[in-house]
Amino acid sequence: MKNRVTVVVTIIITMAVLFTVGGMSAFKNDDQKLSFTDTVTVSGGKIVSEETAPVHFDPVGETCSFAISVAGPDGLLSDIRIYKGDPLTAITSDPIYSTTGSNLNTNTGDLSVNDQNIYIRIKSLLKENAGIEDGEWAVAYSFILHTESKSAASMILPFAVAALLTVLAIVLVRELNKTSEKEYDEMQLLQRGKAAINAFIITVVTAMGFAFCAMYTTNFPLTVYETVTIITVTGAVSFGIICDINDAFVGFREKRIKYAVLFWVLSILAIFGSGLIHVGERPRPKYFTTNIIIAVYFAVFALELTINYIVDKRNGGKEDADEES
Amino acid sequence: MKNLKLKSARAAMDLSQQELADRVGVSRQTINAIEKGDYNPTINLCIAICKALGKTLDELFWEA
Repeated sequence: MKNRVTVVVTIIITMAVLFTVGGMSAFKNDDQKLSFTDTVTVSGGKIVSEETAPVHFDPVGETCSFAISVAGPDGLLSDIRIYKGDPLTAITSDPIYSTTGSNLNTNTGDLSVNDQNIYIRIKSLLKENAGIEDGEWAVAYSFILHTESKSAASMILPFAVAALLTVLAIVLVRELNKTSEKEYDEMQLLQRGKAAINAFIITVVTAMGFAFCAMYTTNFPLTVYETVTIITVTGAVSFGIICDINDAFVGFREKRIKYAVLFWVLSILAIFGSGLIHVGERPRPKYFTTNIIIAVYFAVFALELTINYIVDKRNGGKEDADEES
Repeated sequence: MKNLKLKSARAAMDLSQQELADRVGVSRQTINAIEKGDYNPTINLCIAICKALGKTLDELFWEA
């Protein structure tokens, strides 16, 4: 009874999370907002601070527009220029939009971008005869990128979530209509429990490792989304491998080689997804690192399943031979 | 420590590990682990194995 309650609660929580994610994805637009504050140092009537690093956006579709807002002292002008294209050459080409002013609140109107990267350069200038005092001045910037198109991920996600919700609903109905509790193999339950604890420890250690790296690394290369994905896959794959090594099947029984083939295929798909085949391209495709790590995990899991399948087959054969003699 | 008493009792009844596993409702790997001494079964499983092989707990699992 307790088991059934925990299974039902788990399914309901999973469905609620999926429903929220799917709903958010379906109704949310793909606007990207970036706000930050830059400090401008004025000394001897001149600006001494360097130009800020270019701001990067990755719009989807043919056109996009920016709502730009700048708040700072009246004596400081912000020269804002928007470029499109490759990161190495974009900011040396002509800007597709430029504006200069203090305390700006403007919209760029439709800019033709054709799915290319956008870089924004910001330079602070002194307004003539403004008589700004020496010192450090804070200028707050806000950029809201608006696109009419939705990214492929945003379009596919609601359908994928709907499919998963349907599967979970079926599982939930079956679980509620079950008439008898299945008896499980006690050794495998024990091994699964041990595997779950070990996988949990591995997951926690991985999460702590990422947290440590993010804390002490400037420009940590992974986004929160990628980090969480890698940590989750680490836990799931660890659990699968530990279970299989210890003969706790978790659904792999009698179908090991089929699962091995499936994970080899998934690994290859992840390599394609990473864009590794276009290795010479710059910038790297989105989620390159995550896809490569997932490809390696799937390959390791597939290799482990394949080896265990071969070993198990040999041991089974040996045992039969012993019993015949 | 290997459980040779269990292995010989099973062999005496001409049962494979899989057949014994099916009779007591566990996997072949579990029977294999018990025979190899890698897994210490619960009393319920010990009783089920004894019933399947027609032996007592002492005969299969008692170590003098």
